[in-house]
Amino acid sequence: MNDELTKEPQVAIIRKKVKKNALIEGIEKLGGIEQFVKEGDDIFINTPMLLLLGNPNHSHMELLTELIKILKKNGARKVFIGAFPKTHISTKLIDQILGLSTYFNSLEAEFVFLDNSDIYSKNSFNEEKIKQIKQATYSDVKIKGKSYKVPNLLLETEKYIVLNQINVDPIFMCTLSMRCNELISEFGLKKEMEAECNEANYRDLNIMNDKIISRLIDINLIRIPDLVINDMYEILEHAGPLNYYESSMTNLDALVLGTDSISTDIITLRILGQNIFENKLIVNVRERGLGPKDLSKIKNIGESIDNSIINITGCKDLSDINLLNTQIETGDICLRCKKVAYHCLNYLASQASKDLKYSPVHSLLIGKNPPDPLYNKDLILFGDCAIKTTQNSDFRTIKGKSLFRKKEKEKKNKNILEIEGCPPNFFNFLKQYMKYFGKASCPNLNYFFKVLKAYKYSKYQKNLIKWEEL
Amino acid sequence: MGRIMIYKEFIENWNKIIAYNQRLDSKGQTINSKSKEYRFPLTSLKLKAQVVHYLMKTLYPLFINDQENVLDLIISENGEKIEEIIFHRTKQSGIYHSSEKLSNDFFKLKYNLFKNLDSFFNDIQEKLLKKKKLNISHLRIVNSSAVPIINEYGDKIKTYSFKEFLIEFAALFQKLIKENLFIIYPEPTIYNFLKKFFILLNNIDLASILKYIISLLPNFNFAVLLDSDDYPLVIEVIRSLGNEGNLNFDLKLLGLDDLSLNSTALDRKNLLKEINEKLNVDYSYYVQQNQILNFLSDIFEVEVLTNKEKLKLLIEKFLYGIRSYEKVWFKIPKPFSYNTLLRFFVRIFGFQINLRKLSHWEISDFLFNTLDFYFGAEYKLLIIIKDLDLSNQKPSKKNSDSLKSTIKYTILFNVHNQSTRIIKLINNNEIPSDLSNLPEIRNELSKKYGYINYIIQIDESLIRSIIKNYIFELTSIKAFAKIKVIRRLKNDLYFKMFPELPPYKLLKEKGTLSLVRTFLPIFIDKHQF
Repeated sequence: MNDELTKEPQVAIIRKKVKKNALIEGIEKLGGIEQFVKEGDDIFINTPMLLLLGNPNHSHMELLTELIKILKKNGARKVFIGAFPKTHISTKLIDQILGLSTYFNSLEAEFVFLDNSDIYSKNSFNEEKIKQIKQATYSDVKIKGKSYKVPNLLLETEKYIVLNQINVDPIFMCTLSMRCNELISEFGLKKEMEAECNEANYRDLNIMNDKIISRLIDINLIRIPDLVINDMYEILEHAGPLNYYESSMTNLDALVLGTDSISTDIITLRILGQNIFENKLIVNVRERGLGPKDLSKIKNIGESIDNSIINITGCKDLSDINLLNTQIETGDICLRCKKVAYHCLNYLASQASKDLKYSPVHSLLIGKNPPDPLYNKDLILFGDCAIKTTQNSDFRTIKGKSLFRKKEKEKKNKNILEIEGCPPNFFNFLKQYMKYFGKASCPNLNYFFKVLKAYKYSKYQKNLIKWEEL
Repeated sequence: MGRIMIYKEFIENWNKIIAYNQRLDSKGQTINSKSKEYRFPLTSLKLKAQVVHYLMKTLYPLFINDQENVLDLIISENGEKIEEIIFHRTKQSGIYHSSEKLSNDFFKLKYNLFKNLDSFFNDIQEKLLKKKKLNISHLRIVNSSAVPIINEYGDKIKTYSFKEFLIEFAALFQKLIKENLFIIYPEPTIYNFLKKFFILLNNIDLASILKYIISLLPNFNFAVLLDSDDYPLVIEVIRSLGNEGNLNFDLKLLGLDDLSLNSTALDRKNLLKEINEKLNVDYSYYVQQNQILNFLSDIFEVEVLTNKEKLKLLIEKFLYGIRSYEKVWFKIPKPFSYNTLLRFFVRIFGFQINLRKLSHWEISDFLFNTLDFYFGAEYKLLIIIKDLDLSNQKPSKKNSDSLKSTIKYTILFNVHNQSTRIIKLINNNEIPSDLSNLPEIRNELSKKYGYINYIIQIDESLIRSIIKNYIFELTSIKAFAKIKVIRRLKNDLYFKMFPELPPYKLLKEKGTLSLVRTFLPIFIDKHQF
């Protein structure tokens, strides 16, 4: 496997107004379509499942459509499109909303449900049967003594293609193609991660973060993609990777195509004007001796990088996110908590402006040993780290007069909302937030939860959790 | 080659306006010209001389140019020769004092005017300054090939009703601006706005849109008092459907003296009552002229079409206007929904309806954020407008095949970076036969137009009832009619969306009253005082 990673990598930067033309030219530059499909091949296209939220939260559907058409035209027997199950959102729910199966069927391709949700959404959840199906869908693959559950499709198909949308990202600067396997790196490792988290509360968080990144790299070694496409036509900056209130779209009209993830991601970062030696993922990859040793050896066969550079503004730090009536303080934070906190805060800023306006001025503390809050009256502690490391903080007690005593007396501060978990659950945070400030003061969140209810979201979620635990 | 002439009636009317302005200038504001009526240039509206004078004085500086003197040019088709030059002297912007035809060789073109407008403007300024010691504020350039079109239009408008005029006027200007047959330089914001708007409309006629919008409006008969210290104006608008199905849409512009009313003798409420009685209309509105004009000039800011934030701000301003009842506007008879007792009574049942507390800041935020979050920044949206009345059979979900004949318009919106870039009318024959199968329509049309992200199918009767109940009768308390609209939104026959995005799913799954309870706290502010 490592041999494949160290062979001379080829990357093509293609800038064209029309996506289809860029794709055709890019494939041609990398050696022609025969490099990526042969008569009778089965091909798996991995593309992140953010399809619910429109472009450019995910790669443009027109690009995916063209890719499928090219592969079918050149002899592909079956083209499978899917992504690894996203935590708490089943692929069946996404399909049900967007009608992806019917669309891909019309292109003679197949949308795959890697969380088997197509089975248990139709019928009742038969544990025994689902367990068998799950076992048939996944295989155990051991890397560095650790066992990962990997979809058979990834292991068995003749060709593997990653189609990835580039947007800014709070963890790795931007949504790199290696991140497409992020969810599989955590899948089935819930207990291990909880243990890691408990340990990290008393030790250096960097160790935990290294473990998270290391796992992601391990997963990327299981199957090296034959073709990686980083879609840089429309890029969300400021508050990506989702189209939040503060996100803004910038156009580069470019595709970066490559024959391995690492080189393609390195070139992508350079186009975005990022210092790759500050990117935790790339630094870890290089420390492990993976990828091209000499970066200048990455063969660029398209447009020059210098002509394609576009400087984008990355994600804000958590404490810089503008939330009305909210003072945010952050301590040391693990990557997983940072990611969830980032989305929670941006969601509030984008979709709950009225709730924020109605809420009293409050402080939100995130991470290990956060600084003292400005406001003690209403306080939110986000995540296990914040809860555990502030047990003896001053804000836990407040001074107050009782009705009968004139003297001030110290008493327990009850106006603290503790959001447990490492990382806390996104939906749970919003639910507790609404409960704490009251439904009447949170009309936006009330609406949001009614929307979820309309989708029978909890049923899907319950089944997905059951499936994960099998 | 014969001389190119703008139609006679226009010239005569123009001379009368100039003569009136000259007399007004020599006699001051006291001029009595009650019996005289002039046509407002290029419109079907015959108005009192004072009204024409006042409108030009008010509208021209605001929408076209606020500086003095104008030069009109008629140029050859290829832009290489000047056919006619007319110099208009104005005492103030919009008030023309004289029009003088200059000799064709006053300025000799040495280049293509279309390609060198900037230099031409500077050169002609220089020449005017040298020869006449005068400056101009802007140029109005008409291509000679547009003259017959304008003349034909001018000939027809004499007999046109207001509705016909509006439609033909839109068609004329879409043609003139789109084909570069009429240019104003420097470009005023309204011209720039229209230019961008016509690009956006692509293959759609503005005239057809106006015609369709008028057909969707409910019947009404109301007056608006546009108040100002200078010259209050009254607009009377009537839309009615005759027994033979002929649609009447008329607008009259009057001064208070036309109604024998004195602006200073009555307070505004009583004045509006008088207007309501004299014109015998169903209801009347009071609003300040400058507020309407400011709002209109905000609309014509070109970025409104392409800048989401500007559009959001505009909607916010509009909603703020609506919530400012009895501050910015009022209505006679007073709407029942503003009755405090009624509001209190409705509140007991858990519904907070108070239009004075309309959450203007939140509504636009909520709408745009929902759109951005669920639709994304880059998408194609297909809207199918159908009319179930066109079906031979009684429409039901079972006979969806026959519904294809009910399609009226299929419109594709191409949205880039959160703003609509192109609107395209699609031939109805391209829609697959089963109109109820939206995924099939998406798959089929995506082959030709690229991936269509969202499809909305809506019945015309529903659009009509939304306009009637939520725009024209927003302030009325017709709860059942309003609830009926929401029920229809939940019915697939009248409204359908694919994919079923979260807000639509909620609309479908929730009971009507529960929906009202969910949305009212978002749309109405919590704090009453």
